[in-house]
Amino acid sequence: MLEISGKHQEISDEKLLEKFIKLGNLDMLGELYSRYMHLVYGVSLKYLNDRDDAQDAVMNIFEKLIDDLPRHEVQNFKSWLYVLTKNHCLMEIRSRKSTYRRLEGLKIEQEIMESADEMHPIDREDDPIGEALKACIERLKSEQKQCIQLFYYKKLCYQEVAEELKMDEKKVKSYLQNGKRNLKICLEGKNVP
Amino acid sequence: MSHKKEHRSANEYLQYLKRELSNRERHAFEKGLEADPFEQEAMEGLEPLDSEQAEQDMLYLHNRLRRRLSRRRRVAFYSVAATMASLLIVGTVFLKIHDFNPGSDEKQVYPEESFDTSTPQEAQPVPPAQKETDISEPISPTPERTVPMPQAAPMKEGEPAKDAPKGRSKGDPEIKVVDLKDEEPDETEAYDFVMAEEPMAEEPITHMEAEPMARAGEYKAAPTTQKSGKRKKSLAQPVAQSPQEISNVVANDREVEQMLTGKVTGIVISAEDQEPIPGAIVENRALNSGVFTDWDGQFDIPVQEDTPTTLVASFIGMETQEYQVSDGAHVELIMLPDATTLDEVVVVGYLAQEEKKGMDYSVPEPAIGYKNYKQYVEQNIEFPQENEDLKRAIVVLKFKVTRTGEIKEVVALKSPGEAFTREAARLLMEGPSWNPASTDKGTKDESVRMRIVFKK
Repeated sequence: MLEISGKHQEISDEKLLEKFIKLGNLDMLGELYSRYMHLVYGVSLKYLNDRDDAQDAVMNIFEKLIDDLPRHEVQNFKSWLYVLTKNHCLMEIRSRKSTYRRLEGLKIEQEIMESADEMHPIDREDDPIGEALKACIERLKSEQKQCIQLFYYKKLCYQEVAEELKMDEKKVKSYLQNGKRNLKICLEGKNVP
Repeated sequence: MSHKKEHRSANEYLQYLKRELSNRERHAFEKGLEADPFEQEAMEGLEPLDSEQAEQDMLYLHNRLRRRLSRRRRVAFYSVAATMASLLIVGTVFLKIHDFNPGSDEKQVYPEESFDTSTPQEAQPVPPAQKETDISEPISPTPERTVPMPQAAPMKEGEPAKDAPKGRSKGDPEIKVVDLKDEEPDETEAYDFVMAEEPMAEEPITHMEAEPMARAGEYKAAPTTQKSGKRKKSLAQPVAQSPQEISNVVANDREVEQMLTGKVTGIVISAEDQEPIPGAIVENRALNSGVFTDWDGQFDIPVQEDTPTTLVASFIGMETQEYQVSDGAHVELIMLPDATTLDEVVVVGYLAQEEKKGMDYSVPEPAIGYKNYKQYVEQNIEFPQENEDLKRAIVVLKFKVTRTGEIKEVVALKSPGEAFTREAARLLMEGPSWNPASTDKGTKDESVRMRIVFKK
């Protein structure tokens, strides 16, 4: 297996960040970053669609962190890193856009994901599923409803949901995604007095 | 908002990708992803990789990060040496400017000194200023070298045993002493000093011995030449000449006897990964001797006693490097990878392949052969109207030739504009078919880069 975790494993993100900012200790930032590097890599890979470019992006983002972190007050490192990563990738795409055309099947994805700060009600584990949510689920289209029910209530994994409903795993994911979006809209509508 | 601290580690991702988790665990993992767009997107990026690749990439990234972190330590450590080196270069440039412009004050001095040049200018401190001189002015290295050495000055002896070498070379190391001692040497000062030909060398003699030695020890023999190969050569020659001169001209018995009694031990380390390098060559060109490092990168090499020596370390794929060391020291010679060995893609004709693997491996090729393919391209290429002032343009396409010979995933790595990219892609897609890469196990998918030149 991978021997990836460092020696500072016990230390919390916040502590590491604080140490880096106060003492300028790059090892601390390195440790912190290594906890999230696979995520940064994954996201870069998704946007840049090239392993080498994504790997370079991971290293460039680290350099950027060194510069940027001390200048910002970062509350939540993970979501901050997420935004930084996406911005970096989008900038990268923009800068290569003129010379680097993707010709086939690789379209630049510019859809902005839901804000990282607001967790979807259905993903909040502590909340009991409210009546409002239930009512909204009932109003979803059948595939979306089925996917959400199987995934969230029957606790099946994507693959099982896909088998159950005889559809592609990708489809399952997009139904979930869309279902959740609709749920949110529905819930917000109800909250409006 | 409640972002739970826990996040799914790289290991968990890999387990998921490798399908090592039970359905229950998969669900839990997926639920985590659903709750966190960062992780969800990361998974979208990672999923298309096969799990082996993903694992490899993550290891690679961690190594890269580690290297990045250790580089900083080295950088801090070298910065002193680097600062000095750059100051010396600046100093030399000053020297040179004055050398050329005010006519040759120095050159006048040269002849009267020339009888003295026979005095060996031994292996010992190769004054950096002098070194730079050689480089920056390849036209007449020899006279140049003698110029800054106020050898006419009377010898002063620090300790009788080494008086000869010291007295002789004191002129040049002096420059070095000045530069070394001051972190901010005043170049003009150094320059004036030389111009004046006033070897204020008297008392510094003793420290000029001490300085380079201390330096070698303290800075782990930081290479005095950081990059250029040319530089090394011009330096190596004078150094190499000196021993003969010592024996022939001054043949001081004591000295000859002492020549080989000194010893330097050390280890050769790769700057890239901090690992010792076995089988590297360490030479003492002054004594015309050399040794190989052992399995642990260790070596010991005889040097002339009590005088700083230049060691030259070399190894395949590494930049040949020189180090100033002194007798008795234990040194770490750190070698940098040689940039020239890390060449990019090789261009074969106008088509470039990324690599060849093994004996029974053939890369994808146009079915009609490169020559005919080139002809096809030349006959069918249309220079896009779009850009009037361009006379010549290059498009580099990268694409995959699948095992069945289909062309896929066409991407332009380089292109002056969309019209060119389109035209290049049209040529490729409409053109003659390609044979897939083949190995002894059959055909396989392989990426190819193709360079297409547009000419008006």
